[in-house]
Amino acid sequence: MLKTNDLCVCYSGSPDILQKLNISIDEGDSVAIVGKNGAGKSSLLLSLVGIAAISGGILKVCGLTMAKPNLPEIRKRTGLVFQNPDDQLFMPTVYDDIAFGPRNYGISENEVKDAVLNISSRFEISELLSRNAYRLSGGEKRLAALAAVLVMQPQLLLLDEPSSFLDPCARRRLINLLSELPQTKLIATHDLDLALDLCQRVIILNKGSVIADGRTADLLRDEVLLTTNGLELPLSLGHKH
Amino acid sequence: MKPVSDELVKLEMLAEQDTFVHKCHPAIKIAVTLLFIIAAVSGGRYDLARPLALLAYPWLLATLSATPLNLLHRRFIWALPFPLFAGIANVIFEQNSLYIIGGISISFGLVSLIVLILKTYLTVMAVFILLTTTRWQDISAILEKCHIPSLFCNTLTLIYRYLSVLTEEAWRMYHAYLLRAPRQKGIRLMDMGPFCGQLVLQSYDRASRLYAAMKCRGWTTSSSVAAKRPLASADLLYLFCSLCFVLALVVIF
Repeated sequence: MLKTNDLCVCYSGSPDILQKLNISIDEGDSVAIVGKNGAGKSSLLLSLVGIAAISGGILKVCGLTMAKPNLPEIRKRTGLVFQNPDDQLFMPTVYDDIAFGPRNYGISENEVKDAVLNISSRFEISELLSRNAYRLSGGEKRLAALAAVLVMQPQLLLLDEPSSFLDPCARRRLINLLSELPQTKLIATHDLDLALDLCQRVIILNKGSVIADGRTADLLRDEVLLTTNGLELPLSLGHKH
Repeated sequence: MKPVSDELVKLEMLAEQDTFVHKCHPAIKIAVTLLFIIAAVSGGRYDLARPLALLAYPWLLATLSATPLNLLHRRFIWALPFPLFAGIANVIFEQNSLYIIGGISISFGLVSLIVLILKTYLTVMAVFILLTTTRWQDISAILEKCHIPSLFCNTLTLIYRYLSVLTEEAWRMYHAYLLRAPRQKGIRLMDMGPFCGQLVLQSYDRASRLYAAMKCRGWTTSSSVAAKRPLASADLLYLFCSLCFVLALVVIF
């Protein structure tokens, strides 16, 4: 589903944010990317949809090599949920926002309507469809942003800090929703408890390099490894202040 | 700043209503708006009767489309300085009397200033009513169909979206500033430079993320997300009635 070979990513004029990254993710996996601020988590996700430029190495997403001609197809097969839903929701109503992707891919209006109603009832946001995203709560915005991406049925779901801006109830609801999704998931997060709940595998990044890659239950118990990489034990595993 | 972004949202949400005017084909509404603007601006500079008569049209349309006129009037105030500055010189230089009402002399200059303000009002209201009865993506798609370059239409679309981002960012920054300067009214002149610079950088950054989100969901042109539907007889009826109404006002007055 996803394979990187010595992947380097940089923003213009800056040194590489990701340095010779080698990651392989199989279909159906749920993988968490953790690391302190500036470790390169969001940049990795952005590079997977061709927004952050690759400065070296090879990247294959959903069987396609990252190159300009393949970008539309890669973007069709992947769904990126941004850290801040305000960066993602921009249409006049939630309905239009969810319909935005399908309409762009030329799906007929009847099919678009069916798809929007389907996903909104699954996410229990049907009553929000006629409202403006600007006026929704943080939890509602997050669900609308997720619905807007999932309506296109991506094979690979990329989530950037999915639990940010959420209260405990909305966070739990989101975790339950995400755990039911069959897609391959790559989740960049600081919320290690969410990683424990959702992912079988975790990759620890620091300064753009992979520090550790293994089973979530093993790596997130390693206090020394976590501390040296700017992280702490998850609360559910007995972190004490 | 918050009221500005709130009102932008309000204007946009008005386009989602379900009245007869909203249901009309966007191409028809654009055509009627253009013809109305031509009728409004083509009168003479001292011809007060025509713009006064044409006031009936936006007011009628606002009533039919359930558009609150006071919301549009508040937005119009932003446009008012332009005709005022353009016409104020006429009041000074054209002091010959055109009318004498109750012993008070009304000069050519004053009439031309009033006519200029009325023409601006009619034009701005026509555009506002078009925006509050038609979704932006539909307007943009029609412009593209009229062979206006898609680069121009897409730029317009992005500027339209950027406006709300800019006002929202400005509102956040303004309040963050005031919270740390509680005894102050507004932004000090010496802080204005860094404030505006940061505002541009932050709103640009956010607009880039929005654009990236659009690209990720397959956005290429505005027309791809516009509703597609053929012309119906009700649309033609609307066009005919609107034209008759505007032409009648122009011919009579």
